[in-house]
Amino acid sequence: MEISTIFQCLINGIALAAIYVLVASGFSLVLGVTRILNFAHAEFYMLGAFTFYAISGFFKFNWILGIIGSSLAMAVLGGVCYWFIFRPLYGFFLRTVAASIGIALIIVQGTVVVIGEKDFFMSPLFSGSVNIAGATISVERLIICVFSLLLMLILGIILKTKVGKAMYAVAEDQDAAALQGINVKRIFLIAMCLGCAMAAVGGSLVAPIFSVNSHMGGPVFIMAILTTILSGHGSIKGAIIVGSIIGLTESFGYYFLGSANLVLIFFIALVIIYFKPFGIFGRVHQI
Amino acid sequence: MKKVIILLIVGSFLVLLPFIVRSPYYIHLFIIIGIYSILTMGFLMQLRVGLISIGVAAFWGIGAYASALLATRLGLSFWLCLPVAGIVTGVISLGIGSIIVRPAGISFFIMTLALNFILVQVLGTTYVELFGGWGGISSIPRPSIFILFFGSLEFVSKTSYYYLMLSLLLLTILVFYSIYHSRIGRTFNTIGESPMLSESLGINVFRCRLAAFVIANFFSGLAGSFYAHYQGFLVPEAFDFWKSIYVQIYSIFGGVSYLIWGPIVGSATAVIIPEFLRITGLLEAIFYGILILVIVLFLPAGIVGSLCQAHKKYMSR
Repeated sequence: MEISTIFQCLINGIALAAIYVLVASGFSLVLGVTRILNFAHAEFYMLGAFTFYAISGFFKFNWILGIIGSSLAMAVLGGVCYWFIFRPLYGFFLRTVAASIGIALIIVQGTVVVIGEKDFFMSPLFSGSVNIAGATISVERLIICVFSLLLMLILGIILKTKVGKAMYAVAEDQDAAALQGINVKRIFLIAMCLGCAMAAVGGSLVAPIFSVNSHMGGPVFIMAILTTILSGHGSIKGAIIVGSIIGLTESFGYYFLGSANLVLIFFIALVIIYFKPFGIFGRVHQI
Repeated sequence: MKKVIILLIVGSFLVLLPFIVRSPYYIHLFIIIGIYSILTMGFLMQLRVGLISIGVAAFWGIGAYASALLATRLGLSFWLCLPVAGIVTGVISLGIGSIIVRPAGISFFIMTLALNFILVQVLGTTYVELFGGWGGISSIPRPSIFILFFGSLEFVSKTSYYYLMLSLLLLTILVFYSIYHSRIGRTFNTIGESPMLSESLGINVFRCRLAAFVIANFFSGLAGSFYAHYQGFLVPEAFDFWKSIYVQIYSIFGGVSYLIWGPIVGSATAVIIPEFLRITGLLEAIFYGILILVIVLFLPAGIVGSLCQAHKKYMSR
C-alpha cells in the first residue's frame, strides 16, 4: 500500500467522520435532552441537503446563504414536529419512537413522490485540489473537516451559555430543573431545533461531494447513531473520537475488504459494547 | 365459555377461508398476514422484557437465507430446512444477543437496527457466488409431503401453502401462549414492568431477556424458512430495515399489550386496508405514516385495545 493511498483513505475517512459527528451530535443532543429517539433525524438531514441544493445549486445563491437557509428551514420544521407531535406524547418512549417513524415515512416517501428517486448532482463549491505526499485531495473535503470542527466548537460554546447549562440540567433531571425555574418545554423546543439544524448543516456539507437523493439519509443515520451509542451520548469529545474510528474503519476497510467493511464496523461495535456497555465515555443511563 | 366460542368461530373461519375466498391473490394476502403476525408476536415478546428490536427482519432474513441455501446447495427437504433454519437463527441470535442484550435500552435498539442494515448490505455485495448478490437466490424447491396411499404431494396451490402457514401460526401461538401463561412468562411481565425491581427480587434479568430474544428470533427464522420456500426466490431488499419498522408499526396498530390478538389484528389491518383503498407502493408507505401518527396520538391502546374499551363501556352502560 503506497503512502498516497494511505493519505487518500485517511482524508476520505476523516471527511466521513466529520459528517457522522455532525449528524450524531444533533441526534444525541435531542436524545439526551428531550429523551426523544428521533428516527426522522435522517430525513431532516436529507431535506437539509435538498434545501441547500435548491438554494445554492438551483438558484445559485452564495453557499453560506444556502447553509443558513437550510438549517433555519429544518430548525423550523423540527420545532413544528416537536410542538404538534412529540409534545403531546411526553413521557411515552415507544410512542415517540413510533411517531418519529411515522414522520420519517411521510417525509421519505413524500420526497420520493414529489421529487422522485433520481440523483441530483451539484457543481463543486470549491474547485481545485492539493497534493500531499503524492495524493490528490480535493479542497472540498478538507473544508468539510474544518467546517465540522468549527461547528463542534460553536456547539461547545452554546452548551457553555445559560441555555446550554439549562439543557444539561434538563438532561440530568427534568423535575429538578423545572423546580429551579427552567422552562423545560422551551428547552426541549430549543434542543430539537438545534439538533435538526445540525442535521441540515451535515446534509448541506455532503451535497456537493456526493449526490443528493431521497434515500441518502439511511446509511449516514445508522453510522451516526452507532457513533452516538458507542461514545455514550452527551459527550462531544467522545462523539469526535468514535466518529473518527467509524469513518476511518469504513474508508480503510473499503480499500482492503470492499463492502465487508460494514461487518468490521459491526464487530468493532460489538467489542466496544461488550467492554463498555454504555459507550466509551458514557455513564449508566435509563430510557 | 365465551372465549371458547369466540376461538371456535375464528378458528373455523380461518380453516374455511379458502372455500369462502376463491381468488388466489387474497389467499396470498392472508399468507403474508400470517408471516407478519409471527414476526410481530416475536417483536412483542421482546418488547415485553423491555427490548425494542428493530432487527426482526434481519433474523427473518437469516432464517430465509439459511433455509434457501440448505435447500438449493445441499438439496435438503423443506421439513428438515424448517427446523434447521430456526436453530441457525436461534444460535446466531444467541451469539449476538449475549453481547447486545446486556446494556438493553437505546443501545439494543440501535445495534439491532445496525445489524439489519449491515446484513442486507452483506447479503447483497459479498460472497456473490454463495448469496447471489442483489439478484438473490432463485428456484428454491417447493416443499412436498408424503401421505400414505396418495404418494408424495407437492405444495403447488396457494391454498396448500395457506394451510401450511396456518399450522405454523398455530404452533407459534400455542408456544407463545404457553410461555406467557407459565412461570417464565410472568417473570417476563415483571421485567417489563420494572427491571430494577425484578433484579432486586433475584431474577436474572439478562438471562430472561436473552431467552425472550432467542425464542422470538427462532420463530422469525421459522417464518423466514417458510417465506423462502413459499416465494421460491429471495432478494436481500426483502429484509431491509423498513420491514422491521413495519413490524413495529403493526404491533402498535394492534395494541402492544395484546400479545396474541394484537399482532394478528394489527398486521391484518395494515395489509388489508391499503389493499381495499387500492393504494400501493409509495402511497402505501405515506398512508402507514399518517395512520401511525393518528393511532399514536389518538388511539394509544391500538385497535384491539380500543375495541376492548368500547366493549367495556357498552357493557357497563
